[in-house]
Amino acid sequence: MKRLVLAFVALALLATASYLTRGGLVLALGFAVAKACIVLVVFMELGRASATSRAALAVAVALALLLVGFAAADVATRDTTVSVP
Amino acid sequence: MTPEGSESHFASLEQQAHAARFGTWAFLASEVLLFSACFALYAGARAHDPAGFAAGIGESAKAIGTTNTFVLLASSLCAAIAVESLREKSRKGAVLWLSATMTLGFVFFALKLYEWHEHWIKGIVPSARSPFFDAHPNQRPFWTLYWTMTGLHTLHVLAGVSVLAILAVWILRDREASTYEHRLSNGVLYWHLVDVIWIFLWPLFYLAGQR
Repeated sequence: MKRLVLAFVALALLATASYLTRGGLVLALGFAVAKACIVLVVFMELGRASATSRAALAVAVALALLLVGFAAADVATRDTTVSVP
Repeated sequence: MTPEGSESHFASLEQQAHAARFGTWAFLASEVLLFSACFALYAGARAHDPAGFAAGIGESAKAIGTTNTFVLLASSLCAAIAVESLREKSRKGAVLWLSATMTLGFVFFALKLYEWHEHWIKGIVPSARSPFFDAHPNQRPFWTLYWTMTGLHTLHVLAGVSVLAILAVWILRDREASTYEHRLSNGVLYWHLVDVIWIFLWPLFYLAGQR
């Protein structure tokens, strides 16, 4: 119980910090990753899950990161110059 | 012969719990992939027009979004305590904490409805024609994604509350708590995932990039 309450306090502090320092996307996502890790490890007990369960989640997260990363990289690096004939 | 508390095709309750746990994690992985398509759309659209997204975030209801963040974090704590209670053979405690989790889920839903209503009366609607978007055409992609992603997430909140309600009824009806411990912990995993997804939606639609 104490472990769960401490995790919630940490989540609340991170959420407050995220709100107070709003502005940068990278920083905001950093806080979000930290909060997600606390939920995964403490509340969802990822450490107690079987290796196959952890692998299923890891593959999904890796594919999600690839999809999001390539989508952003594609749009950000497109040459939008229109050539006039 | 069926081992006590388990389905007939499992050798033991432990084996059944292990299979159910893996099945739940595989399902959660598929949910991550479902939302990753939305996050990819968001990343592409934001990379294309960061100024439009900054303007959209400037219009979003930060107070409600932030309150809902704390509501979901508190609900996750309640759900985790419910699992702990059942492990300590306290059916009453488990149902009590599950009820608290569901109440917070409904609070989230009510606040979300109010937030959507506030946007709707400003003309920020998922529609092809709106005076708001005539005046602010660069915000259209942001708000399209806002309605899609917060709508999809809210559907998951309602599904989560339904799952928790079913589990609470099962625990109340059956006095053998041990057979429900793994079912409850699997159902609660889904609720935590809903929380994790909101943890990412909150900065993307309410905080990050605000001027």
